[in-house]
Amino acid sequence: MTYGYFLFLQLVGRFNGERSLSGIYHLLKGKQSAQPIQDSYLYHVRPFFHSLDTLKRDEFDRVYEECKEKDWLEPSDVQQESVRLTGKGAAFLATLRRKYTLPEGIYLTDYINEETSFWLKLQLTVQTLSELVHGRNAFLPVTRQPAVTESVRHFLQITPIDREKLSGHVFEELSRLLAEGPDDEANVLVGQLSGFGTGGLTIDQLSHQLERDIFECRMLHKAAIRRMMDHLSTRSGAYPFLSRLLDRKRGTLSLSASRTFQYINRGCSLEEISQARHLSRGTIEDHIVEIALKTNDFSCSPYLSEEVDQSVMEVVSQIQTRQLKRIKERLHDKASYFQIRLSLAKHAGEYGGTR
Amino acid sequence: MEKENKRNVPVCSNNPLIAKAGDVLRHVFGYDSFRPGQKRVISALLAHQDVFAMMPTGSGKSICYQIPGYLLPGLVLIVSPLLSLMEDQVVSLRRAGEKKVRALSSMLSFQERVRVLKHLDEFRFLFISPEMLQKPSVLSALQQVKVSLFVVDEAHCISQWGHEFRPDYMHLAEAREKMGSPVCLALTATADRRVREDIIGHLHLEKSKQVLESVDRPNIALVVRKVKNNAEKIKRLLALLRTAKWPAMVYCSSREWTEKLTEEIKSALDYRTAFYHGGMASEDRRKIQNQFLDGELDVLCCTNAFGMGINKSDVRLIVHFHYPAHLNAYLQEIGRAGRDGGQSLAVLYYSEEDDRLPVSLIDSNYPDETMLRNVLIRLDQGQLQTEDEHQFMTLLQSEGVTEVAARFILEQVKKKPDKKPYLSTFDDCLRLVKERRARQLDDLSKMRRWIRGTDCRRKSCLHFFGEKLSWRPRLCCDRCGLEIKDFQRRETDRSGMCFELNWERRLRRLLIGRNR
Ligand SMILES: [Zn+2]
Repeated sequence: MTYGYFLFLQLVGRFNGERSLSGIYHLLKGKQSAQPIQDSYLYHVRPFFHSLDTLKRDEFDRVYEECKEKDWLEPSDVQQESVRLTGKGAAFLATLRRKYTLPEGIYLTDYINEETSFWLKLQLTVQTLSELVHGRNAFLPVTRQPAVTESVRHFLQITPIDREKLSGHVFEELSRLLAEGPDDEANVLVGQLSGFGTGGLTIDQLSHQLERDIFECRMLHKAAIRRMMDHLSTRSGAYPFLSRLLDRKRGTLSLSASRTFQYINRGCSLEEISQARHLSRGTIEDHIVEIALKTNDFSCSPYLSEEVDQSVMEVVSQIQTRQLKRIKERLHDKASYFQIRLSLAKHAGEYGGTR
Repeated sequence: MEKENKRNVPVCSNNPLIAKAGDVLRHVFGYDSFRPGQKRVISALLAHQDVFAMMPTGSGKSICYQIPGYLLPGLVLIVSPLLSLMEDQVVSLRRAGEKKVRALSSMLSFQERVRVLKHLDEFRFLFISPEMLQKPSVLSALQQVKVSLFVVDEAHCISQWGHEFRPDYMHLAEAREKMGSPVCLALTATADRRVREDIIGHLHLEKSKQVLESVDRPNIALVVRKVKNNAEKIKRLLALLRTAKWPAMVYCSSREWTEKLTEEIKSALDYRTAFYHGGMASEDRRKIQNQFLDGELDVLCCTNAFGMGINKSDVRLIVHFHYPAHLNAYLQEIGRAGRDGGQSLAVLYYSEEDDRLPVSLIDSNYPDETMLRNVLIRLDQGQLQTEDEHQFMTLLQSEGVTEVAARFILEQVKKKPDKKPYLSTFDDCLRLVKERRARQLDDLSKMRRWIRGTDCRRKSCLHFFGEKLSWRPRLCCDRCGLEIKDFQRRETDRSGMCFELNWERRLRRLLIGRNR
């Protein structure tokens, strides 16, 4: 469990009592809604977003309870259902930091939206080829998700070479890709792959077999996936087969936000978009904040004047918080929540590093 | 009731159709002889007679419709209640070399569904879920092709008395009629008289040929052991596993227990052990299932979520760490042992503290009075809607109603006549709850009587199904003097290979064929 503490305490430290426990949970799960997305940028914890997407709430609560029992946490005074580190907790986190690091691959977050789908496609492709080259044309597929099934079928159809050769190519490319990262990551990833006469292991099983913390195994797995997707997108020429499994068209924006972005690029105003898409103003605002966070050269000026932006930044540097309510109070309501969020989003890259 | 003795039936026959069926059995499926009951079912179907067949789990039910598929012109349509079951059947047919087989369920993508419906006339077998069969587009596509055989698999799902009642099974007779009433085969494993009558009534099979095989599986020895408490149970279980033959399945009443026992077994014995329950991600469940089928596990600790559609022939031991709430379920679960005909063992442990479990499980199947009234009132006031069934279910579950109980409510309110307030169904609902609950408690008390009985286990079990024991196998049951040491593993039976954890070797094993 200590790796679980390492992850949890780090986030508690980073949020410093300004976000609820649910906020931390949703960040780890990678919930596609405004708050966790925004948090991941504003608090510089992007690598954690969607890093434990299979985490169950009761599992998360167990980590929290245990940390609480050990007196590493105390209730926060600025946010309900929120905690911050005690001195003891901070000291223990420092010890853990000397022992553990986050795997490098975790920082490669450009294809976060594709993670789940890419991983399922990879598993199904390997399983299908494995069964085929061993002469079995019927098997129980690892996933039944229609979109995944369709795209693997497509992958196999557009590759006009025989199955044995294709399997050989996939083997070769996968070996090369995995050899670029640490063996730990490769073992966790390949251990989960299923095929002829070989059922993939669950993360829980791998954690027992490798005698490693289950949270660490999950992080290693995630790092391996992110590293692979990064290589496949930046060096697709070197991996002509596998790179077809990665949908590179999809950026980091959530699906709905990217649609809003299209309207903005066509010159539509906030109200017009809200009407055209039959979505509330608040939802469109969420999208614009997400776009501001994730798009480098996005101009916020239609929604945020230079003057308001300046005053928000001044307050932030004075009271060192990213809690909207406190900022708004200090500004005597001269800025709306939307403007504050936008200003924070615009300057998200300017304070504090991630690592 | 008709009975055949336990020996397999040779395929040679004077009847030309049956001779052909024998050819298919040998050449397509690779069996030498029919198993009890198969031949009678098949010859009746080939003579265009409807059949109601009850055959115990693991007795080769699917052969009964697979063979006619090769001899009758047109499509064999098989209604199946579970996706996993369908998938498994499709895979086993494909492995027998059959390409003209598909499964039509909600899990298919839209394009795939359209593809299947467009090419119906090219298939020999189509598996279908009952809810798909209710879709007008599906039904009208089926009306365009010749359906030669309408198979209702796991037909006990049609019975409200059955423990796996599926409301959408109630519409099957109507669907069959719309397809021009093709010959019908209703298949079920162990079902008592009341369930059988329900099946026959709902599917209009009064004039059908009835093939009722004994529920007995003579190659499975039955042992019941009373213990003081859970701690002793675990001790006994570990001692059993230490010497008995695998692969083994250990049935538990809850998710927590499957995980706990897996830990216990792993730490005490060096066995390849895993757990399986409904709370796991579907991908993880599939992995464990594949590992078990592929012989990569010695012991699987599971809830009753594992089972239907699992076609593993060499399971040697079934342990009930907690007893199920009815004998039907017990027989179905132990029936997963010894499908290859080999000697197998079923051991049930029970202690007084187990007696609380099943009753609370039964109660959790139904809403309590206050909750029921509350839901009906909210429906009348428009605070709750049933149009979006999923949303309705999720909402009730978030208020602490179990999934089964939520489905019960949904099923009842959907039957409400128009113009009447929802609250008017309150009394009927309560009556139904009382009826079903009483029935389940009755089943439970039978199960308990069987556990505590002093007579031969096999004989008393058959008695509950209205059968008489015709012959007793040598290794019968604990009451007949069976010792668990009769089932000792030989020294040479060793646990198989460990999981390959080195990524390079594993990847090579997966992707590079044997002939390289
Ligand atoms: Zn006996």
